[in-house]
Amino acid sequence: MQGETASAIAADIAAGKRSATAVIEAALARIANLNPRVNSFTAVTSERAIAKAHEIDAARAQGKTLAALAGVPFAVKDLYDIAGLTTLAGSKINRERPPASRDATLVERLEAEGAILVGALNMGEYAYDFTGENIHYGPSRNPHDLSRMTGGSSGGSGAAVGAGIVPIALGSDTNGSIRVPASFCGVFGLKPTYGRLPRTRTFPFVASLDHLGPFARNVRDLTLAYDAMQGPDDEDPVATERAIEPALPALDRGIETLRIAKAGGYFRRGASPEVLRAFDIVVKSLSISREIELPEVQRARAAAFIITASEGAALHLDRLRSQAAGFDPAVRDRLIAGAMIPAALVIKAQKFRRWYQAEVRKLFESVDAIIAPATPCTAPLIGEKILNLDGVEVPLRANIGIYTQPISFIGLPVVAVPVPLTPLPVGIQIIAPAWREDIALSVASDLERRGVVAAHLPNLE
Amino acid sequence: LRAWNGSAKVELGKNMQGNHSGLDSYVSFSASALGLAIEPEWKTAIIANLDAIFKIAALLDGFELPDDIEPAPVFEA
Repeated sequence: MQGETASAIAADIAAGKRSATAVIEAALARIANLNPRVNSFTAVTSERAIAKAHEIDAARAQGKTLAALAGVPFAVKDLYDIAGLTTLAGSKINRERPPASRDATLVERLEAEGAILVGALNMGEYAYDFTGENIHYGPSRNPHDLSRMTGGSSGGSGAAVGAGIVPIALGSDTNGSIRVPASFCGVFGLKPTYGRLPRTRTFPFVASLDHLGPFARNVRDLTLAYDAMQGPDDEDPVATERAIEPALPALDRGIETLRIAKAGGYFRRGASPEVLRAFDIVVKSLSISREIELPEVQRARAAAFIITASEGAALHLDRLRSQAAGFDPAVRDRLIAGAMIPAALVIKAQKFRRWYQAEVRKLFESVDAIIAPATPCTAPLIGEKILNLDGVEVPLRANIGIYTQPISFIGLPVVAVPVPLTPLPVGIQIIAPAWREDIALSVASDLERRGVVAAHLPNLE
Repeated sequence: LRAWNGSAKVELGKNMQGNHSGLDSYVSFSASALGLAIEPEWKTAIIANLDAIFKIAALLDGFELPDDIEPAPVFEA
């Protein structure tokens, strides 16, 4: 059924009300029916998915206890390795690469909990994108209005969950690429702490800033997926060695004791009336009175911008030398410019990162969570190039991430929650101290329980 | 050091005034140093991107950091 939650599906399969095979066949039928409209999938792994479903049905028939996500379909941004498929990362150039020999660690971990991979998802080329547009594979389309952007770069992930095709999708977030599409597509997104989820066997973008995380239609599913993917992994040098810290057990513990503040100044400037409305709804609902200013946010964004351009360019330098014509021209020109940034500026950006992290840590001595908008606007029309921020016209692509970029810059965990405004939803960020995803998820859960945030299912018929 | 910082800011500031003539030769030289073959029609966009980067960098460069602060290339959140 379109828009079903992972929890409901897993409960039905465990109770024998439906078979995993029936669930997967229905998911594949939804892809066939809805994907031509939202363009979220770039590959469908039908054969493999049906085989996994048979395994789960057989295990249940043998009386075995099923794992928490048994039979739940999910899909991953096309920068996660899927054994037997070439990892495209939204590019044409990568088609020449050999197929992946093994699944990404996070795919293996979700499947170990019984979830079933049904395909790879559309994305902005090499993840250098906030729009969800892609010149090679076409734009992913916003399920709430097909003429609008999904946001990017995990556009297919936002669209697939927003359209209710799959209950869980995985994406990546370097400067906002989970939180932006979650906002535009009206779903929940979690960007965990930098280093929390291993990036092993995913195609990188900016090693200093790359994070992986899930999208879902409710907080419980988001948490189930997150918990299933935690744990150290020696193959990712920045993956944490901390033990698994499950967030599910404390999800509904209540938030009365939490000190929650709203971000002021920078995080209100440029926000559209709809965004301010959504922000005020959340702030009022949480009875937040304290407003705090993050220090030097604009410089934090500047530093993230420079590190992104420079590291992204270094990653692609050989391809820029030998296959420049194969890139999306807009991505190519940004990367070439990034290759020419003097090293001293990049190192200053990395030094500033340390300073900013220390300053923000001090703020978290007196607050437990900070609320901020996720995007400055609701989903723009596909193809739009200019964004109006406070009456000033600025390039859209670079500015969609103004509120997300200064947060991922120091790796703080964030849950993006959807405020279901009409006609278009918009997301709010719940930002927690490092390694406290559980706090952000608890606040999200409280807002969801009281009906303040929800992933509304669009009518795509 | 302070004086050098000051003059660097002046150089970065020039780009903020839309002075692209220096960037044109900077892009040509950097491309050759990096072994990048740039088609003539790409150059305007590359220069515009680099101009934006230098403007943003000027904002960062204007912030004084202590000498002993460590960079964060391997970062523990």
